[in-house]
Amino acid sequence: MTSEQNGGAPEKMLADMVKDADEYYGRLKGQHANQTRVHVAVVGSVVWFAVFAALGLGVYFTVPKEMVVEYLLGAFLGAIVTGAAAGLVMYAVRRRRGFRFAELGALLDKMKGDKASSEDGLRLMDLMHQAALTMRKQRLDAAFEYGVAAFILVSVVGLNAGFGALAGVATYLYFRFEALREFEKEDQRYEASKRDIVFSL
Amino acid sequence: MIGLERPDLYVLARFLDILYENGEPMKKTNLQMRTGLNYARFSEYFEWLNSHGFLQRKDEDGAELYSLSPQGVDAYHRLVAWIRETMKGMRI
Repeated sequence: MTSEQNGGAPEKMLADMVKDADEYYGRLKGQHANQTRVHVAVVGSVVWFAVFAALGLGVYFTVPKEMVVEYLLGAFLGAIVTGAAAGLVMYAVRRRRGFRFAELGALLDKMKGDKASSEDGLRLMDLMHQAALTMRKQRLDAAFEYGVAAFILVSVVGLNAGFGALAGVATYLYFRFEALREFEKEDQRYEASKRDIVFSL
Repeated sequence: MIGLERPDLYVLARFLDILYENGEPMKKTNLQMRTGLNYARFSEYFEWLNSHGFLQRKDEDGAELYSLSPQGVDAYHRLVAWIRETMKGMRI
């Protein structure tokens, strides 16, 4: 394969690489921000609902009738505070994961300023790969959410919390297994291609 | 040969970058300084590159000067093309 067939001179290819990586980084940040919003909303809502349901039922069955409204209002407010706290914790966790992309941003800034080298290109490629894997890892969060959804659905439809729990665990394990398998396969493929290029030079 | 069974891709890239960008033949000592490797490590990689025909030697005023051979330049092109292709295939 000649350099022309490969897309031109190395200098041009390296410059194109930086451009592509910059777009990739932009998409990564956008996707991460969107997922964070969705996760915070889902976790906050689920926790709010669960706390309100638990406190509300407790109030309904234990508090005298004339005080139920006040206590329910208290349960409602307590659930809001707990839901908001859970949302904040989720936000903090995802923000910390997002910092892993910061190195990619810093390298891109450096490469945009200086002349790009193939060593920088390799580093950029590794960071992009790591970022993609981090995004894949976040599917493990989704597996947990699918598990919770399956638990709620089966419990409500089947009127049996035991079946619900079973369905929830099975759903969680299945999606977790699929996410991990895809994650490992992609990582192995990437490492193998790095080994191959050394020996094919 | 060469105690390198599996050379580090980053270090190979560094050698190729320096020699490609420099263009002109350079002394081994200068090359070693620019790679930032200790002598033992530098020698292993230098020998690896030499044994693969990526280097060409030129004697000038009693000094040994090295630059990339046509195979070396081709290897550099292929490395950059591979990085570009791998990046293109990356999905979020």
